[in-house]
Amino acid sequence: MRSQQEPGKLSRRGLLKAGGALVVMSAAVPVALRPSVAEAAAAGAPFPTPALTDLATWLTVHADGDITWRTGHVELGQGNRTALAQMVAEELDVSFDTVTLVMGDTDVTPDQGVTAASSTIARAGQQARLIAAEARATLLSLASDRLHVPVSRLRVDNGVVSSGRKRVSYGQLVHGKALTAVTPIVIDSQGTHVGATPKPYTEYKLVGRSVPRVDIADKVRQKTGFVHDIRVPGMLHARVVHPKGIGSTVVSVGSLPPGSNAQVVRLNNLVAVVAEQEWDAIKGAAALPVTWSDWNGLPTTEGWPAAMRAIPSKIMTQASKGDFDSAFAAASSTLQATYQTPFENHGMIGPSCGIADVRPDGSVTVWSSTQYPQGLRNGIATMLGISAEQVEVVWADGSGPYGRLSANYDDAASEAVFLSQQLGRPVRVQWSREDEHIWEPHGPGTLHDMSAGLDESGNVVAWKHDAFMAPNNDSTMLGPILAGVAMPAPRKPVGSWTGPDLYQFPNMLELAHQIPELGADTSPYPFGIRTTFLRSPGQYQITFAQEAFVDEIAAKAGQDPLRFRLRLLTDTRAIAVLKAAARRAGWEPRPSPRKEASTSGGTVTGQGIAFVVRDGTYAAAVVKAEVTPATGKILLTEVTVAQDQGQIINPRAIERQISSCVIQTASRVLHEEVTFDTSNITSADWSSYPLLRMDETPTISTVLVPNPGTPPTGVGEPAVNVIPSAISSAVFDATGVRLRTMPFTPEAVMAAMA
Amino acid sequence: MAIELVVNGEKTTVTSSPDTPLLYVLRGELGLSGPKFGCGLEQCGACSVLSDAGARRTCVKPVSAFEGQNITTVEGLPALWAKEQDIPEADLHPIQQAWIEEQVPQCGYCQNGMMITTANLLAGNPNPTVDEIKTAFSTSGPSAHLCRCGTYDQIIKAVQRAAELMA
Repeated sequence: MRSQQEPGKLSRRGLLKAGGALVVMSAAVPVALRPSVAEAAAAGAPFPTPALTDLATWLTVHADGDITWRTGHVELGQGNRTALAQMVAEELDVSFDTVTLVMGDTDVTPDQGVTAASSTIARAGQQARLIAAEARATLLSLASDRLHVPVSRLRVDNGVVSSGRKRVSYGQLVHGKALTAVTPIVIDSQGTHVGATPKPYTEYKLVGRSVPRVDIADKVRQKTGFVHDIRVPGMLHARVVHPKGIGSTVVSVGSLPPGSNAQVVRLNNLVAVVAEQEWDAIKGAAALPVTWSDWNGLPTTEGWPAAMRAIPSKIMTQASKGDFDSAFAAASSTLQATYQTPFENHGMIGPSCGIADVRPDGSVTVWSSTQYPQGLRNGIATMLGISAEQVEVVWADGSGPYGRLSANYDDAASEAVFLSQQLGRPVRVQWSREDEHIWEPHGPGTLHDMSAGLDESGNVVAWKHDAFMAPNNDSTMLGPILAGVAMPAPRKPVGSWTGPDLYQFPNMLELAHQIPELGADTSPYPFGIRTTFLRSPGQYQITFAQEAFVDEIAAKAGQDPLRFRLRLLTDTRAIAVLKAAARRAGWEPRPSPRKEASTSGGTVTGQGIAFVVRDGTYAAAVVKAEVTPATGKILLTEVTVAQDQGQIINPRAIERQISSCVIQTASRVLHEEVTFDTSNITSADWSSYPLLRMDETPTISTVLVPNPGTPPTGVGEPAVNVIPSAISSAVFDATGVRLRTMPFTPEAVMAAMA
Repeated sequence: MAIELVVNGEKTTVTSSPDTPLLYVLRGELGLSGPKFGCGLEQCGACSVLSDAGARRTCVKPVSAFEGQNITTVEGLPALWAKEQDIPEADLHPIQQAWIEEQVPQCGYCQNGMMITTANLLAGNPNPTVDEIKTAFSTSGPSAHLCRCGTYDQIIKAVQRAAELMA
């Protein structure tokens, strides 16, 4: 398939005029759709939201047999453009090359929800698979009429329907005709229902193959139009001067230096410098004197753990079984430890960028790399007080966001909207590196008080996990808030537990203290340190504490950490991934720490293992690491991940996601921490917030456990969760010292080993 | 004030103000979107180009500092290869070919800088070891080349593949 957009953006708008291409339509659509589209086109007005139950929303069969498939999900760099096309081409029985995906253009693509939480294949892909099966059935029904052959005697090869010598292509079938779906598509709370049955996996030709990704050649040739690269005629460049403190408001705005080619726009606390040339906007923003109110509502990097414990919070009970207190009191030995994870950055390499064109006729076009174009569309309609039908959001490739654009759909675009409205021209807002490091909605800091009671045989009889979670669901957008536009009260973000219980103990208590945003209580804005979904949100932190603590228990019981887990597990998929990872990695069965463990002398080595179920996917990792106590340096040498994600769509893409999870998470665990004083974030660049470098990259091995009969589940997040505790346990194995507070920087390691 | 550059083999006169960092001249005035804005601090490598002095970051240094120099962006790598090989044209530079064969990019935003630094590395060291590759991307420039998607291991393989293709 090809990765470009439809020629001339062949939307429903274009279809009315295009002679060669025809829409596959369900019976009700022509009447309902055409007049309104025609009227809208004549008036130059936006279009109704594409209906999920219309086949026409999903695909166009062109006269030459090419297929355009539309999806509300977007490519975040993980290969879903390719994998979705594989699933669709497979179901339609067309060659992969004929399918072109259109992603995330709200005028034409269906709303399938936010692209997040490893959901594209598991949910949007499964939905596309059903609808593609229905489309195929519809095409076969038409072919049956054309060829005078019953459907049961027809076959399809590469988009050509045949029976003996009789044949007709999909393109010939739809040319000049509108199609009626054989069975209406029904979407309800139970899911998507179609008359057709998707293929059994045993007949797959495309699904399960490592088809090369369709977007990569363009990315290598620099032909991908990232949102940062889009230039709209008449567009102005803007830099926003953000508040000095998280809760600061404007006291006064001065003037640009004489000779500046820029102009200042101020809307309440939204202060921007705008110019024809980008460099003039940058210089102007740097030179503009703005006085902000003092605000000092944050507890500082050192103070936040104590502050979080002191904040009144609701307590969510994740698990309560038996009587923890009595069992803990009666245990023959006990163990208690506190784990801590820092505030983190999503760390997009390309800082936020959005373009808005708010036109005099009240219609709006926004270009964004948001993870949820439809969500952004609705948000912009709300902030401008117009209907969603007046807003089009056009998604473009962006910098890997990892959740940064998932709930806070696009801060930069939300700022661009108000600047464009004010100036009457399209405006591009490009955040600086400092803007992104300070103002991105961060990953939340968390605390975990762990307690376990063991009986005389080393069995866990009591287990308690008391978690303090900063929010991971902030959904504010800065534009309207800074501009002072009244918005519906955002949901109050709170921290929450994520993920299933991995092990069952006779007496369990698992609690999450749902902490509001730090500083929100004293800020004039409806947020404090904004914290939101960051790759595997919640579960990343929970699993770190639990899996590392399980290792602590295994060590106390003098047992091999792998065998200790296998004794606790009954789920065969869990057991399979743990064994597969251990086998591939050459796991040495023995208790930790190893006999040679040492914190003195030179470099020591260790092994660590961890397991998780995330989004229905099972993952296990073995980490082998070298630790040099004298320098505090941890070097991951080999990381092995075994994963069972149900049906495999594209094996290489999955292996790449596992690699991505390993390297990105190693970066988070070893290096990353957002720091802040009482006023604002102080880690404002890559020097104060470093990422893992290439010379710290381990050798990565992956084992994909085959499971073709089980529906596919997510692969973008699961392996994230097994890395932190496996690193902690490998260091423990090597040194006998347990690291419980991330990040494991050289300074922290040296302090722990001293 | 006009400044002369040779960009991707073509003599070019640019009119951006001389204090403009080269990045904004390439992207804004010349419409070359390969070099990316990542930090404006020479801390990530996304904006890298080849200059007469080797791989250079473009997000801080003004265009005036590059006056008269040959500047090659990723868009110009195929023509550079064709010139080096004395062939009429090349569809892709072998580095780009290797990047596609190894399926390196994920989001792709940082890969411009990765390919430029590979070209710079292989120009001086046609057959680098893994350690030499790691050094080139980690400690040899103003900063490490940063990738958030975690493609470092694929980049190492692609650099080795490019070295084979160019041998």
